[in-house]
Amino acid sequence: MTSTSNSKRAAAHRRVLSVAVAALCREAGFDSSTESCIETLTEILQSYISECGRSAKSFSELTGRTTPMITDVAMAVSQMGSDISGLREYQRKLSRVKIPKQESMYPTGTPATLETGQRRKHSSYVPDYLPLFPDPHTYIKTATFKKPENNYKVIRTNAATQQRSVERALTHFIAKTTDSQTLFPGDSNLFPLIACTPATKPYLDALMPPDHDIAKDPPDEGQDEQDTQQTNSDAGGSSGMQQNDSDVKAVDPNSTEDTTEKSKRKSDVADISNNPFMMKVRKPKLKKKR
Amino acid sequence: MNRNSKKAEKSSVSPRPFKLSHQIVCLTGLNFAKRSIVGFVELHLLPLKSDLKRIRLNSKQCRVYRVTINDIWEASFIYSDPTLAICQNDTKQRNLHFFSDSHQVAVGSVDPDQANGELVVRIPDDALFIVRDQRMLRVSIEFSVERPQGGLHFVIPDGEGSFAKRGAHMFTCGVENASRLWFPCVDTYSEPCTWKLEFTVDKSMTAVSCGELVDTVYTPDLKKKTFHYMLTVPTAAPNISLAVGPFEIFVDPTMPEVTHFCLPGLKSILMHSTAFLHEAFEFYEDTLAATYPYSCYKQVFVDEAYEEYLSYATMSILSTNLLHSKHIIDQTFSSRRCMVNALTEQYFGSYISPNSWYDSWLTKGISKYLCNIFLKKLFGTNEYRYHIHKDLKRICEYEQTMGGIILNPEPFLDHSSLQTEKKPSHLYFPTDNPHTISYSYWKLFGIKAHYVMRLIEIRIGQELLLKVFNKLLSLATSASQQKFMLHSWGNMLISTSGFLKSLSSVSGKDLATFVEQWVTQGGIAQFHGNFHFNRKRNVVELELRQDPSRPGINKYVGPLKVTIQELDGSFEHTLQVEENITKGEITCHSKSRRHKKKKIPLMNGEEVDMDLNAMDADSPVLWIRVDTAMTLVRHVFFEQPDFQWQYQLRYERDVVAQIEAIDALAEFPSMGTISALSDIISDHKTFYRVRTKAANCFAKVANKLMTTFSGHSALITIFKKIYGSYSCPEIVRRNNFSNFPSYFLIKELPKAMGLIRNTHSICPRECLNFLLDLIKYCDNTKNHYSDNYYRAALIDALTNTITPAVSTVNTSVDNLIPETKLILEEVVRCLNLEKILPSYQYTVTVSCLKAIRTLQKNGHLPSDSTLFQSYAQYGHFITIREVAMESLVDIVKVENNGDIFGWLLDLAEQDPVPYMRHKILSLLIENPPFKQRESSPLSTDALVERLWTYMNCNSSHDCRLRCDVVDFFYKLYGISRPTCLPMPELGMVLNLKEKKTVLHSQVSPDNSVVEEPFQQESSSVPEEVPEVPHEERKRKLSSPLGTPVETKMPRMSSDQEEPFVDVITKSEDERPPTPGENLSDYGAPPTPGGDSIKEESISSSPVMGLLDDIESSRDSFPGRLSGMGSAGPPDPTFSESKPSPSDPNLPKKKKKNKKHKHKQKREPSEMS
Repeated sequence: MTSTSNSKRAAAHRRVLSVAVAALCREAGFDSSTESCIETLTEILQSYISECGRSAKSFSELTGRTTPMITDVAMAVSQMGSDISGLREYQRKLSRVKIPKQESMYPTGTPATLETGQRRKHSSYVPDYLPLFPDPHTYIKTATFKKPENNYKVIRTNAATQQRSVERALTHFIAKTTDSQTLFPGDSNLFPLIACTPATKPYLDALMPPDHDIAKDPPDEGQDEQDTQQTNSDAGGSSGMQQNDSDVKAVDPNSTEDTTEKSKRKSDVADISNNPFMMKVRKPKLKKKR
Repeated sequence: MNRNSKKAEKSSVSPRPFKLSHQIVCLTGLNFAKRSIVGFVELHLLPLKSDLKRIRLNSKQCRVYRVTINDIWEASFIYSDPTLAICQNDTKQRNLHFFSDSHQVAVGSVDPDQANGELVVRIPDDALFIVRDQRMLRVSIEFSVERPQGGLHFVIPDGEGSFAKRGAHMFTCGVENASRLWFPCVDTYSEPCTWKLEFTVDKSMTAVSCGELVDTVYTPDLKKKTFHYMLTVPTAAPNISLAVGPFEIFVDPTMPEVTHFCLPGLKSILMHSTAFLHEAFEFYEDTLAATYPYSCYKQVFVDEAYEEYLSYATMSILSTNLLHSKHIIDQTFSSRRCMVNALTEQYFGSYISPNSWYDSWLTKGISKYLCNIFLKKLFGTNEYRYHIHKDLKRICEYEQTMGGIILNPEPFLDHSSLQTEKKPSHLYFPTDNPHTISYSYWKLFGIKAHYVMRLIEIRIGQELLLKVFNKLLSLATSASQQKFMLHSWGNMLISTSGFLKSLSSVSGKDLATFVEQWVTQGGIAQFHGNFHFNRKRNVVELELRQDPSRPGINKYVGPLKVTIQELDGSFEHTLQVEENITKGEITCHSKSRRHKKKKIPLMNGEEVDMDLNAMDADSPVLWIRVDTAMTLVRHVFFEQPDFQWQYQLRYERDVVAQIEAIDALAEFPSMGTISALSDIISDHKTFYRVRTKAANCFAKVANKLMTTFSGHSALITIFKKIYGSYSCPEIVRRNNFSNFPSYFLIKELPKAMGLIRNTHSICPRECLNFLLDLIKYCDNTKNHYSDNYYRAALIDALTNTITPAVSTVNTSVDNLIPETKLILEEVVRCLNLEKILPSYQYTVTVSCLKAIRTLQKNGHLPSDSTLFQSYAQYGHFITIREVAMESLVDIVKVENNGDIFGWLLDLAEQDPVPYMRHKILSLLIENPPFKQRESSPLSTDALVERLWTYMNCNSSHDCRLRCDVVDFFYKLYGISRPTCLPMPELGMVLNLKEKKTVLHSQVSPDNSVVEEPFQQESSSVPEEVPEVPHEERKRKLSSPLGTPVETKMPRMSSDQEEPFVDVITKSEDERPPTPGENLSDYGAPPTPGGDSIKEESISSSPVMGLLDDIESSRDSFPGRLSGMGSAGPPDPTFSESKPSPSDPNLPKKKKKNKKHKHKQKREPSEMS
């Protein structure tokens, strides 16, 4: 709203300025002028006046006032290099063109606010002078989407479907954009296979694949299970007839890891540096000759 | 004890006229770009005989430049390797009989245990006084090896940058004694000595070798460094190894003496994989009551390994594919098995080495035995028993098809007496040398050795057996500390007789009959049993039948334990087996009435309730088992009614019994079986392997009942019950593999489902949908382990559902049935996804390729080899290559595709990875394109020639490969001359010994002779055709600079012999031979060893004895020809080219004929 009124006002000022420019031109003896010429002069004038005003405001502030006085304007104009003394003479000059008075603008009232819904009335204990409640839509939450189902089955299904479609799209894309092989010679559009390319060190990828979908920390609860299994099979083992519940004696990576971890702490660094492979390579004696 | 050490000394009498005390190996140049090594060795020898003139050493594919003695005298030497071309003198013989014959002779002629060798060094006259004084001889040999075809393997990946950056490395490899392939040595286990090893390598590399690293020194230019190793424990040359590469070094945090090496980038998984190893060390220290015999231990993990593990003194070389991260479950089991076995071979194998090849069953057996008792502790008794049972089944299967495996053919009682005339006639390869035996035999040999060692444990008890091991170890330890008494080093060797004496002295038991039954004799015992319950007498009448006439079956005489589970408990009875049919009457302890309902005691003391409605109301017998504890090498078929098997499966607590019951129940399709099996599958207390087997059997049984029973819905119900999520059982729970038994079951159940068929003999649609859902809902995000094996198993399950296509008119996308389309979609998606997100060891890719091949084979997809060919290329991971090759082999067989067959054979000849060459041939042997006597368009002249050339002369540096080719040749053509070949020029053979003329076997239509592996060979075996013009032997004359040292001249024939003798005398008389010219002058040497030795060795070998007839007829040809005064080209006599194999019993007369020839020959090579 304000922006439009601003622009309107600016347009009005500008219109007056251009009229003034045109009048000045006529006074200076011009009969006619191009639109752009007037426009440019208007621009210059506008900036001149703006600068003048800004400068005058600075002067007034310099003297500790907030509103500029005529002296400030005079200072500003003279500082900009114009002689202010000719102004009075010019005012008296009869041949100057009179600019008709501009129509004044009528102020427009603020538009009525659109009321939606019923405003809540104040409760009995709220004094009347307090403002009313705002429109209900500004504080009442209304869901604009359907509530998702968080049933296990659906989640699993959706997750699986989504993953599959991602995988399928990705593999299909790569198969289409890079070299590919086909299962149907001569009919290569369906079921394209990404071509296999020999690697220089195939074991690297094969032995250390990206663990993209493995949970990070190994479980701890396996430990106790292990111990019970151990005792079971030990009990049954010696007789040759075992308890069946000893099942597989699991190779639990953690058990060994824990022990190594402990022992790692135990064994000091000196031990490892005693290992001949860790020792410094000796510089040759210069005279060494085999 | 006394007796024992005496024995050990006696057995250590060296067959060689010298004793090795110390050896230096120094490799000064190791060039990755040229794949070469340059260096020298120095052997410190103590002459045992004062007339020692020649020293025979082993050396293969090495180029020898110079031999000096005590750094003063240049010695002349002859280098000839008859194993380069096995049958060189003959161009037309194309039968395995002849080949294996020649192979044995060739290998024997360089066998250090027969005092032979490829490299013959003549001690110069000036130096002979040292020998006379019995002082130490130092023989230094400068040599180089370039582009080795065996023994050493260089792995050099393509790429930018230095070799170290590219991960290039090299290591030694080979079967048994293969050290001669990379340095001259006495390549036998029976010649231990101390070692000094020096290797100069690039400074970015590490050289790992045997013994203790005493020093690492830069070379003066600081570009290389030299690793100095000392091995003070006497060690035999075959136990020396080397690995060089830019290894990452990981010192074991618990045992700093143990160091692990891996290729760059793998250290994290190396740390995890080896973290358990100190437990094994501690275990063996406790169990054997002996410390680890060496001061250090090194594990090197290399790419393109020859075997999964190879153990050498103080180090082992393992395949890098054994490494795994903590997320991997399945690989852990096999990796640990390998590492532990490599460790036990340190004790028995490296530290204590076999005295001869015949004793190697001991080191193999003991090391495997020790390995298994640790694994029993690690993985549980059930796993152990399961493995023993599997081993037993493998042994039985092999011996029944191929014939017995003899662990030690020598009768141990009279060790030194003459060899008996035992001949393993059934095998097409000689078993007297590790270099001539087939790979599968070698594997089974190890398994049987372990099994027999376990039988000894049962006979004398574990404690006593461990005491024997301890005794052997402590004897060896005290021997190894004797630095100057070389003869006491004999205690570092283990011999069968010494071991048995120790056994009997420790245990006080006589194992003679046992040894005779299972060690010096091959074959297994086989029992067919059934029983009948006699109600009146309350007696079980048991009948056990043996049929020793069948191949690989021996008659067993002795006690046999039978266990009967009755209502009142389990009772063991011992039957004496004496005849082929043994009848036993066993009185039952319990009455049949089941009026009082009470618990039934089991063998392990547990008491259980049983539903006894299924059983026979009159009989108290629940089940019967024969030889429960597996105390024999036996194969038992026992007939029981189905309900007894079902009881056995449900209630017997021994996993072996359960597995046997499952195997038997496959033949009893009934609802009772189904319910027993499904109970076992769901019972989480049952051993997981039993459960997985039960699932498999369930599918089989359900398929037999398909009209009345829908197996798939039953299995799906079981699956949902165990693995379905709580709120909706049709969706599988998220993966959680922390319970390993449940993990192994979830891998197997889908596969079993895939096997189920409906009445149209296709897989039911619900089943397929269920499997597809399993793949779809597989969610590993909350799992702590990798699910790669599970996803692979699901693809396998899909593969199992594939049934032959209905119409195979043309296979195109439009003709795909919807089921196939679904399967294909999954397979393609998984295969493509593996390219982006590879799984551990590409397990999913492997399964996908299998699925594609199955689809092709069943006519759903056009059969196309290009896909597999691209996956079989060098540069893919080994498991992928293997499966691609397997598919290609299958294509060759199904389509008789000659091009692919040729392509595969090309690969088998030229693949850069030795393991792959071996693998291709193994796959071809397993699934040959055609078999004996089958006609096939692939069976051509050219193929025979190609294979023959390959095994004859192109595989001489890898004896495993050579034996593979022999195996393959045998699979294709049997032992006699391939029928596709044109007849030899002469179809008639004169057999002078029997004074008759026989038709050549190829000429005679009667093929009944040779083909049957077990048939005794008769004299009409395809014989030599002496008139065949012999190929002019290509003698490679070396230039004075001595380029190729390998002459292709194995055996002498008479015409070449004379000049040789001349040269020898000349060189001895007139001029000192210079190292460069010796070859050109000498040509090939005579059969190393001379005839007298030869004859002994031949007659000692069982196979050769068999050929006496043929040989003697060969022998007679020269005589015949000369008698006829035949003119023309001098006929190369076989008596010369093949050292006379005549039977020692034969009169000397025959030899006289040739005496004039032998005389000259013997003189120069007189050894004894």
